[in-house]
Amino acid sequence: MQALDVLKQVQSSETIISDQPQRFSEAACDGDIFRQGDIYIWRRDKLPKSANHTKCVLQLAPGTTKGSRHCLDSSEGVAMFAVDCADALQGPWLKLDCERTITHPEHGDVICAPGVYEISFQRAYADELRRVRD
Amino acid sequence: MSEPMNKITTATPEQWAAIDELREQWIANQTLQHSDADIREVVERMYAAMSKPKPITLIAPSPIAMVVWSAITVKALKKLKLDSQLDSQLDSQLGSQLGSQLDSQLDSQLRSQLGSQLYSQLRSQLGSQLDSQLGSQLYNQLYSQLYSQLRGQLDSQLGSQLYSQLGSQEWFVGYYYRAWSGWYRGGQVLGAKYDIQKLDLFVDWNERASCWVAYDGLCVVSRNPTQVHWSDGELHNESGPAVQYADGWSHYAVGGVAVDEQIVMSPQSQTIEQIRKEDNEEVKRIRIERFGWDRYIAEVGAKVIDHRRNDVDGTHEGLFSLPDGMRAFVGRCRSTGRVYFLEVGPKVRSCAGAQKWMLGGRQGNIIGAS
Repeated sequence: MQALDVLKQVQSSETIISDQPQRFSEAACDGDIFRQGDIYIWRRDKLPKSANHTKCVLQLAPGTTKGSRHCLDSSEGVAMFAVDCADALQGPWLKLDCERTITHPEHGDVICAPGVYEISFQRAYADELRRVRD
Repeated sequence: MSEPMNKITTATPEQWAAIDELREQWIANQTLQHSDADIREVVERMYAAMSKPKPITLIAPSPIAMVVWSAITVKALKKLKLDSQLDSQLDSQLGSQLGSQLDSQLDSQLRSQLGSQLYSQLRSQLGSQLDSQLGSQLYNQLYSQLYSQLRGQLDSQLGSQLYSQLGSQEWFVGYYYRAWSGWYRGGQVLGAKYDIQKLDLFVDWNERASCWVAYDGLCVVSRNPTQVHWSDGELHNESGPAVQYADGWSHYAVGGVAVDEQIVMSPQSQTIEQIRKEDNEEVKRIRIERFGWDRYIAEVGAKVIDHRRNDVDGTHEGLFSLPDGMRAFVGRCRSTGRVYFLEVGPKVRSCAGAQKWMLGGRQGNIIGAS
């Protein structure tokens, strides 16, 4: 198949407006992931030993653009952690004492049951390891 | 505040309609052109509030002119001071930067105090509704969009071209406070009472002096832009600048993404190398869209390695090889419908491999996407 034919197939994929929230169930396992745009939300069994408590910020990805606005709906019941030796793809870890929602202006909400979650960023090609910029 | 007030617990539909109007008006006000006299008046009022003598006020046509003018003026005035040609009053005042002090005045003396006054009067539910109906929109458009993009462009231009001469100045882009001004006006619509002198100073300053460089004895402010183009709350213009000032200083943006003039005005002149070297994926997407997807795929020399239906996303995706050995993953965001051309490692052999590569090569189980 020619590249232009594949491009047409990609372009003609149905757009699924993701306004329906997605939910991590209580039964989600360690390593299960929801992708919200260019961030990955991992269900985890426990925090890593190197996790250090940090101030909770609602926005989970750095930046001021619309694309970077992956945000917790509230800081209530949220403890946030950073890990030692984090690379460019590593985001914060979250320990939720109650259900919380990760929102985004263009992507569907991801509802997280109480538990531990890890945020990571999509990789982009570069000489050094770096996350996607948007 | 002269006397304690009862909490405001309800608001009428008419009040909320007025809030909607206020929001639209506040956004439209970005291009209001104030008279020199009005700008000078508020500068002098602000300096008086900081117990500072009346300064010389210069009114520049754009933020870039403001920074340049202030640097030149301060240098010239200091030279005059050295030559003892300055009158004694100004001689003793001029020289120290007031930017941080003025910023602190706006933040701790005005914004936070007005905020305390508002929150003490509004029932929390009303505050939340005011935030969702007014505050968040003003914040997103004036701060996340206008502030961050204009600040980014100034940082970039001053950093790359004129840093050694201008970088030490404390220049401010004040749209953050302008968003707060609108929010406090919204509180007024709901019946909140403020220290009116403080409110007027805060609002008037932010309306008339969107950007400033402040010194003892000298304040240089920028006029508002003459054009600001929005689409769905994002800076956007596909046929000209999204923001333009009277002297021609311009900022380009498409769909809320800051881009350069070439991408908007002459996208066909982009080279394949320019597009491939673009390290911001949203800008790269816009570059390709405006260059033409078919032309880009043809000129970049893409050959199909793999393609598949992605059942998690419900989309189709492809993996291409490029003549220099690189691989490119092409996929469509299921939420926005936007198509991305993401270069991945040269060892990637399949679409599934590309997805794993983008995950950082880690083992995980993607159970859903949005």
